[in-house]
Amino acid sequence: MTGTGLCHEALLYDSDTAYCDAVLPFLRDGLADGDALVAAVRTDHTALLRDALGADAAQVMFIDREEWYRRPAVTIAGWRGLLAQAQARGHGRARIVGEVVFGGVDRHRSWTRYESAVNALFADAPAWIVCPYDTRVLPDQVVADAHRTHPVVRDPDRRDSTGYRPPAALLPELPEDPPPVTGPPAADLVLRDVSELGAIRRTVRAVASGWPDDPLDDLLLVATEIAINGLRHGSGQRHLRLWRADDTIVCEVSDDGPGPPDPLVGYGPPPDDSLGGRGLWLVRQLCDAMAISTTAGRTHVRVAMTAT
Amino acid sequence: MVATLQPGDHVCWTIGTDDEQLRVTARCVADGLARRHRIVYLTHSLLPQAVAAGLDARGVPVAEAVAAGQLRITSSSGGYLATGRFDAAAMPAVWAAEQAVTRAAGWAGLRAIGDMAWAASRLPGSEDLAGYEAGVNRVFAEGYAMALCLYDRRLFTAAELAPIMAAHPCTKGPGADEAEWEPALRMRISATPPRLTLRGEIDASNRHAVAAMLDTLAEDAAAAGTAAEVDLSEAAVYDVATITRLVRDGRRTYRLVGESPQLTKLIRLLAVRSPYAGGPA
Repeated sequence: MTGTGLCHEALLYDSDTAYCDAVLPFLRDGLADGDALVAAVRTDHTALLRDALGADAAQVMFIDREEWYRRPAVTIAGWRGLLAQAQARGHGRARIVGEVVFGGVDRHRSWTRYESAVNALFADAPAWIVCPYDTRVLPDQVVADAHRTHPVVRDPDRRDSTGYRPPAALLPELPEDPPPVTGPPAADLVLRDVSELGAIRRTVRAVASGWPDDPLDDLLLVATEIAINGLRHGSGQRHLRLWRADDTIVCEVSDDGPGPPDPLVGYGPPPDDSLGGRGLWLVRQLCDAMAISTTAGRTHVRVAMTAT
Repeated sequence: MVATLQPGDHVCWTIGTDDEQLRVTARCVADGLARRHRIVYLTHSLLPQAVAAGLDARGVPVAEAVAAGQLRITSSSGGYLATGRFDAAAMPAVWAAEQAVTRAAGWAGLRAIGDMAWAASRLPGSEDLAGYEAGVNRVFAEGYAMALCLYDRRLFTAAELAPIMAAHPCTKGPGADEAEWEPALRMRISATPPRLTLRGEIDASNRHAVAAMLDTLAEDAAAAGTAAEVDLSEAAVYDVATITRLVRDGRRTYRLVGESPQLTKLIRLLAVRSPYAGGPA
């Protein structure tokens, strides 16, 4: 494969042999090409690859995938950082083996969206990403979605995916599941103008009573940003609602508008020169979960954070 | 409440009735008289005589204060609009001169109370009102003068008021309890060395005021040929646009002092550049 843009492939495998037959040549060719090599993979695969690569394993950056795949927006920011480092070190391209942690069913939608968003966010990146999918353990739907989120599949033959859907088409069909809430909100405020942002934070502080300073500051910033986002981009009556269950707080701002037209809003940062537009990006960095949904003519931006 | 205001403050106080205007300003005037501040009250929707009567009815010794030179109540046509139009660029110098006169007369401070209703009549020049409000922060942030700007919600739309509010370090909005209201942010600037001290909370409600002061600070530092500092040790920043500005401008124009661990974390998040995509990581 040549060229400077992104290549994003799904590797569908059902044995260690099939895995190694694809991944090892991918990495060894990368070594020969002078590419940066990164593997965010299962611990058993780290061991397999290290054994097989021998001394060459030192050229691969191995990442604990359980740490790496915690929040999609943070993972995206992490890849951006790694690609920037690779470029700074003089590598013309990065080869990445990325084994997304799909985990329980509550994570499938978020990480399928992530796999799709990667195609747009890194379209111009000099990166070749292979995403191994273990068909023995992953649910059929997750494997089927890999065909929709990767332009290229290998199983083991490498070919264009006939089921591939560009993110602009796929993401609106896969809305993020809103963080769940139970019972009535602990607070429900009507938002009128920016002069109320301080009062909103006082309410958030009251609901988050007992939280340590660090997550509380993040929560206050997040609540302020989604409130100003609703005031600026929403229409009609804006509400801010808060729910608390144990140490998890869900904050929601709703309005009568149609919601953001860009399904990738908040996943990628705007250009450097812009002072605005980073609000939802930073919110996604700080929150455990964030979902934008539009139902019955109202748009809801809902976030969840847990004090840890 | 309005009694907590100090020299250095610059408030956007939204009002809904004439009675509310007189109640709030009577408190502000009485408080200023007690603190030996000179008070300049520029009225518009009410005649100067009506303001005087209204303050007097609320217990302010108007005649005595006017006779002593401590209180001047005048129409905005003799203040903001003396030249027949609103010249936003010239106004900071006008206020600086008023401040010099007050200081020379030995008063402990200057209180400006401005009924901004004239701006609703769309006079030439008033389209840059938010720019004026942002720029004039420089005068008040020196810590001798303060301003209470009255914006009548019956005369301005929410869309018109939004940028005007954000040009002030603090706003008393319609939803705030008058008795419990406190200024959200205080800004103070000193010349040698060029240093901007921010106390309170920064968010979208005052980001233009902060941005204007950061620009002023950068100009002061460039003129003095020295490094500038922004003291954030008593400030909390809840505004991504302001943090982005601190990252963007701070690299070349000023040094941050006393930033919180959270702000350090956010600056780090926003500062990383991606060479191929042009954005932070």
